[in-house]
Parts: sequence; C-alpha cells; structure tokens
Amino acid sequence: MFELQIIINGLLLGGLYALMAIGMSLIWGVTNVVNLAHGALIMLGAYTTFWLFKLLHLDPFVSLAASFAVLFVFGFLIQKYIINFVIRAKMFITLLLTFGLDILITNVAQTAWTSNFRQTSPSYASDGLSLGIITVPYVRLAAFTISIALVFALYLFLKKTKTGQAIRAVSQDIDAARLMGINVANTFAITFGIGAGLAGVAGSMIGVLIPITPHMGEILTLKSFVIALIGGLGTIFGPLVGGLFLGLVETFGSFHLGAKYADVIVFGILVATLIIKPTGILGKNNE
Amino acid sequence: MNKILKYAFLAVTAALVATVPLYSGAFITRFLIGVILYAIMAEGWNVIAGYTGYPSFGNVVFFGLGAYITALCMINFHTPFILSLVFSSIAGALFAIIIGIPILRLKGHYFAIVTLGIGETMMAITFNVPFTGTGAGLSLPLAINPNLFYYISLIVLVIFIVFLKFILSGRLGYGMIAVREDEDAAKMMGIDTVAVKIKAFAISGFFTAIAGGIYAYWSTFIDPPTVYDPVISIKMIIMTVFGGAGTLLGPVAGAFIIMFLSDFLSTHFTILHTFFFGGLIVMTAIFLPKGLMDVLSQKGIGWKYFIENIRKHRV
Amino acid sequence: MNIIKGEKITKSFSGLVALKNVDFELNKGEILGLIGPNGSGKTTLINVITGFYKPTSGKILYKNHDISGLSPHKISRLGIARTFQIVKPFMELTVLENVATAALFGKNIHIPKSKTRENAKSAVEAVGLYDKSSYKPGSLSIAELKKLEIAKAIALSPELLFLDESMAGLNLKETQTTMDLILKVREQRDLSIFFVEHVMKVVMGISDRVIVLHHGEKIADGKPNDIVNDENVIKAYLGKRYKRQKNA
Ligand SMILES: Nc1ncnc2c1ncn2[C@@H]1O[C@H](COP(=O)(O)OP(=O)(O)OP(=O)(O)O)[C@@H](O)[C@H]1O
Ligand SMILES: [Mg+2]
Repeated sequence: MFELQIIINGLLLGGLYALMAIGMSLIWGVTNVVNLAHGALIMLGAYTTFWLFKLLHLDPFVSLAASFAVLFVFGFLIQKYIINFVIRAKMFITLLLTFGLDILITNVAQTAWTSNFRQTSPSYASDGLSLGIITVPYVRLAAFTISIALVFALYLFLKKTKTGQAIRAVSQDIDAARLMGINVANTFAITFGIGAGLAGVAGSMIGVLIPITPHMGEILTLKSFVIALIGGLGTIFGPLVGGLFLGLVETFGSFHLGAKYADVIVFGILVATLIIKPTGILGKNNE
Repeated sequence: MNKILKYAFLAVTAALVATVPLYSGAFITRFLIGVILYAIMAEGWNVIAGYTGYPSFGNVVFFGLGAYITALCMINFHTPFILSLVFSSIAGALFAIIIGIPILRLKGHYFAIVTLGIGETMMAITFNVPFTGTGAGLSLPLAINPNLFYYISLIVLVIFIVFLKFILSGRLGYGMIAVREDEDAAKMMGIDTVAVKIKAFAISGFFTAIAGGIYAYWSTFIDPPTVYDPVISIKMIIMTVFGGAGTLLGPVAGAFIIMFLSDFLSTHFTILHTFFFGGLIVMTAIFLPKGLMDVLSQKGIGWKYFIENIRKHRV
Repeated sequence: MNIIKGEKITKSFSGLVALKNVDFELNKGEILGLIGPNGSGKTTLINVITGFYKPTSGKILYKNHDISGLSPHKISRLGIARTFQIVKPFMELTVLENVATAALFGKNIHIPKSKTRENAKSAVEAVGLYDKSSYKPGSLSIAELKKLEIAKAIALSPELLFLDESMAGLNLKETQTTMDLILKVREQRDLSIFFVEHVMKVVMGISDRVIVLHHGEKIADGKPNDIVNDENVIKAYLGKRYKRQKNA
C-alpha cells in the first residue's frame, strides 16, 4: 500500500510545484525572459516567512500574504529598473542578466543570513490526517490546497481584471497592445511582480517542508523550468499538469532509486522532454 | 623602426610574463595561476559561445570532470601529472561530444537551461557514485614545486590561443562564425553545422578539462561542490563577455581584470565583494553587452555609447 | 538534358498539404520561372529540393542521382545554391567577409583556402557591391541585401541556382539591374537557374520556361507567352494582377 501513499505525497508536492513554476511560466510567456533568478525569489519567500515566524511568531500560513507583497514589490522593481533595459537585447543577454541577479541575491542572502540550515517549524508541522493505512500531513494538504486555489485565482485575474487583460494583450502582440494605449513597461513590471509574488508564496510553504538555505533556489529554478516546459507557455493550467507530473515522478523515482537521485531524475525528464519536442509538450510554438 | 620597437616590446613582455615565479613572491604567482586557469576556461567558453553562438551555462562540467579524472588517475594509478592531464583533456572532449549530440540541436533558452542542468546533474552523480569519494572529496599528493603550475598553465593557455588562431583562419573557424550568425544560411552554404558545433564544443571541453586537471593537483583537494560550482560557469561567461566574446584575446583580458578586481575587493572590502560578481554581470549586461574590446575599438568613446546600448535594448 | 528533375513531390505539414504530386524538370542552362499566388507552395518547393524539408513522398533527381532527403549541406556541396526569400545575411561580418565565407564552402569545399579569395571578390563585383565591401549588412538597403544574398549564392560556385523572390521590394530600376545581373551570371558561369517571382515583367523578361503552382499543385508548364494566355493561370493567379502590371 506504499504506492498509494506515494501517489498522495507526489500529488500534494506537485500542487506546490505548480505554484512554484507558474510564475516562471507567466513571465516567460509574457516578456520572453527565462528568469534564472526564479529560484532565488523562491528562496527569499522562504526566508521572509521564516523570519516572520522566528521573530514575530507569525504562523507561516498567515505570513503568505506578507511574502507575496514583499516579493511582488521586489519583482516589480527588478523588472522596471533592470530587466526592462535589456528586454530587446539578444536572448543570451537576458539570460546572463537574470543569472547575475540570481548570484547577487544568493550572495547577499548568504552574507546576511549565513549558510546555516533553517526551517519554519510550526507546532503542527508533523501532524497529519490518518486515513487507515495512509496519512495526509496537514501542512502538505494546506500547501496543496492553497497552491491550487492561487492557480485558479491567477486564471481569474488574467481573465477578468483590466490589468489581467493588459497582460494577456501584451503577451499576444506588444505593438498592438501599445496601440491600445497599454503601458508595456509597466505591464511587464506587474507581470514580473506577480510571478515573483507567487514564487515567494511557494517558497514560504516549501520552507515548512524542507530546510532553507541561500542556495536552495538553484535546483528550484531548474525544476520550475522543467514544469513550465512540460506545461507549455501561454497556458495557466499547463504548469498545473507539469507540476503534478513532476511531483509524482520525483516522488516515485526517489522512492525506488533513492532520494539522492531526485535531481538526476528531474534532469532526465528535462532532456527527454526537449528531445521529444524541443518547444515543450503542451506549449504553443514560440520560436 | 616602429616595427622593431613593437617586437622588442612584445619580446620583453613575453619574457617577463614567462619568468614571473623567478622574481615575484608566492602570492603573485598564486594569483596569476588563478588568472591563467580562468583565462583558459573563458577562452573555452568563447569557442562554443563567442564564436559558435551556443552560450553554455554549464561549462563547469568539463572543469569538474577534468579535475576528477586527473585526481583519480594520480591517486589510484599513480599516473604522472602530465599524462593525467592528457586523460582529462580527452575525457573532456569525449564528454562534450556525447552530450553535444543531443543538446546542440536545442536553441536559445532550451540550450541554456539544459547546460545549466548538466552541471547540477554531474554534481549529484559524483556525490553518489562510490569511486569518486562521494561527498567527502579526494585528496591529491602534494606537488614538489608549486611554480610548476604557473608554467604548465601558461603553456596550455599559449597553445590554446595559437591553436584557436589557427582554427579561426580555416574552414572550421568560418563555419563556427557562420553558425553563430545564421544556422540555416550556414547549412545552405554546405557547412555541416552539426559537425561544426560538435567540434567547437569538443575543443571547449578539451581545454576546460585541462584547467580542471591542473586545478585539482594545484589545490590538492577537490569535492563536488567546489569543482562543479555553477559560479565557475558564470565566471567564465562574465570574463568572456566583459572582455569581448568572439574576440581572440578578450577573454584573457577579461579574466585578468575581473580576477584582479575580485581579489582586491575580497581583501579590502569584504562586504562589497558580496555584490561584486552579481553586480558586475548586471552592469555588463546593461551597459557593455558587446564587451570591452568593442568599447576600445570605438573612436571617441563617451557617454553616448552606453546610453545608446540602453536605448537600443529597453522596452 | 535535364540537370534536375522532380517526380510527384508531395509535402505536408501536419495535415496541411503544401505540395501535391508536383513534377518539374529543369534543363541545363535553362532559366525556369516559378509563379503562383501567395502560399501556393513556391518556397516550400525550394525548401524540399534544397534539403531544408524532407519530402513527404516523391523523388528529386539531380544529374540523375536521387538527392531527396539528403541534408542541405550535402546538397549544397553537389553544386546547388539558393537565396532566401527573407534574406539571411551574417550581420556581424562585412559584405566581403560574408561572401568570402561562402566562397570557402559549397562546391569549393575541397579547394585550398587561398584560391577562394578571388572567387569571393569576383562574386561581390558581379553583383555590383564592390564599393560596399567593407560595409556591414546593417547599413545596406533592401536591394543591396538581395544582391548580397545572390553574391553569397554564386560564390559557392554552383551549377544550379535557386532564387526566391530576389526582386520583391525593389523599385523598377533596381529590378532591371538585378535582371541584367541574373542573365549575366548565367552567361558567365554557365548556370541553370530556377527562380520564384511575382513581378510578371521579370518572369516574361528572363524565363525560358515557366511553371505555375496553385494550392500546391502544378497547373501549367510552358513557354512564358503560352502561360500568360492560359485560362487556368489567368483564373488562379494572373487575373487582375497581370492586367494591372501591364497597364502600369
Ligand atoms: N514550416 C512550415 N510549417 C507549417 N506550414 C508551413 C511551413 N512552411 C510553409 N507552410 C505552409 O505551406 C504553404 C505554402 O507556403 P510557401 O511559403 O511555400 O508559399 P509561397 O508560395 O512561397 O508564398 P509567398 O508568395 O507568400 O512566398 C502555406 O500555407 C504555409 O503556411
Ligand atoms: Mg515564398
């Protein structure tokens, strides 16, 4: 009956993964920037919640809002005052720039908070719901539920609000959007802010499940990319499918091959995906 | 007359560079070994990215692989150092060919991310396979004469530059540049683009792996996080881009200047050093996307040059 | 004697049939014009012949050897060159460097490098870009870019040249000089030429023979004068267009 437990664990993790990746997918789809600092933003979210918990004893699930707000502002400023300056340069330059930001953020975090392992550990961290032979840990269940809710919220936001429509217009055709009177620079900044905010929220919840370090983001950037790739750009529910898939495969793989190979599995999926279809599995062709 | 002066100047400079360990202290020699190793790696990145247009974000794998091959040869088989370097270089080239066949078909973001992932994956694998000493790392014998590393790395760098100059003047070099500029047009000209890319990647892996091998023996201890550190990849990239990607000597200049600044800051302004690499990359991407060599080749450079870069690339 | 021949070439893109059983033949030394409405499959036909796409079915015989499905670089080395409808210059290189790069490859792939320089220079001269040898493509006009594209193609020393809308976007005078250029190149280099063009004046002026594609199917094949009077062609393609151009 292990298998059932693994499926549950995998799906719960996958929901969180979907939230983690949806920001990268959104930013990529709208601004055509693959944000290599995405993992660093997740890491910042994790620290935000950790410090609020440690210093102010704020419940991690309550501080999600703070995490979103902090990262939204941070992301908005990064896009507006840094990335917007190179948006039309060669693709390599935007990759280089976001990689530079990744290193900058990681180094500052390391200097400020050291490389010590930290974890947000509320009293209920190890409680779970027992359903006969399987257990559903509360925090994972909560993380999953919140993640799925946020994915739907993003969908509604893009569909129903004026800002959301502006974002979609810009992602379709920048020049046309400009003619409609949309401020492209600001729309990019808001998009990046939302992507960063969601990354922050994901990071806050990840920090309850695994140790927090300044370098935790490196592999998370890769995972987010894999999920965005599997899901395809320009869709909201693509990353959801991608996240659940990666969560399941990783959980299964770690169980059968050993947790040490989890990252290797992720990379294997990445390469396999790219070889099967170089533009992503569910995605529109974007090049 | 002018020509004679120029050659005399070059000869003196060459002689001075070649004999650094004889008249300078251990500290400077050490610093220069670091510069030269990075210059080799930056030039390696330049071959695949600067000339061929495939910006790898994971060239550190060749460095790490080279380091491990040399270490394992020397520890387990007592292979002489130079021979170990030969094995490292061959392994680096072979590995480049093996991974190059699937991944050099990818473009843009996809190529970048996959190369980034290769570094992480090799690190994970090295952590887990027993004969690499796993996470505990490997200790190498101590070298008798530390100056050895200076001479060897300098010779490797010089050979690399001469070799690259030779390549660039031939069909392979023109083919690489054609691939960088427009792959479809290159194909239609009769250039076997797949072969060109794989050769360029193999050259890149070959020399980067030698740098790894030299580093392993020089530092006497290696473990996965040190030799597969993604920051090493980013350093080769920024050195090349800063100096001038797609120029023969830009990466060498970039390696020297950046290592110097980094060393200076880390000894005198530790806090500033935290921001150094990240900040430098961000500034370079915004203000100097074509590198120093491009700036130097402009006549009457002024603010305009930098403003122009921003104006051209912003939203 | 034909230099190249296509038999029942079909190409479909996931459902969309871009070419349907197209037969064609080009004789040595001939200039063959290919016309057809937008999206009728002209560029696709060139892409299939030059190896950019593999044909879904059908055969291409070059000097009686089957070349269908060979990769582009191999086809190029056999002496087939092409230009691209959307020009593809090497932006970071000068005009001369662009052409010099081409001169190293194609049919010249086994010639010592020192001997290819002359070839490059004469190609640049032939298209009239000698004065701009040291310019980068960024500072050339459309007409000049199209000429650069032709210079690169002929620097490969081909025997068979495909030109994809080399005159689109040129004014009358530029069109005239490019036409003269094509005729001159054919004379001097003993080339066979297959060109795609919308400008009927050009098609009538330089083609020995014309074929017409419509919805991926060949609907006519013959002397230029017969083609412009062909019922089907007028209905499918020429219609208003030709009248308009004639009156202009
Ligand atoms: N790579 C491709 N994938 C899918 N469809 C394609 C591809 N290339 C061409 N097509 C389709 O094949 C058809 C023929 O296109 P093609 O470019 O050959 O037309 P054309 O005759 O050259 O037109 P034009 O006069 O506009 O240049 C079009 O419907 C086009 O959309
Ligand atoms: Mg066409």
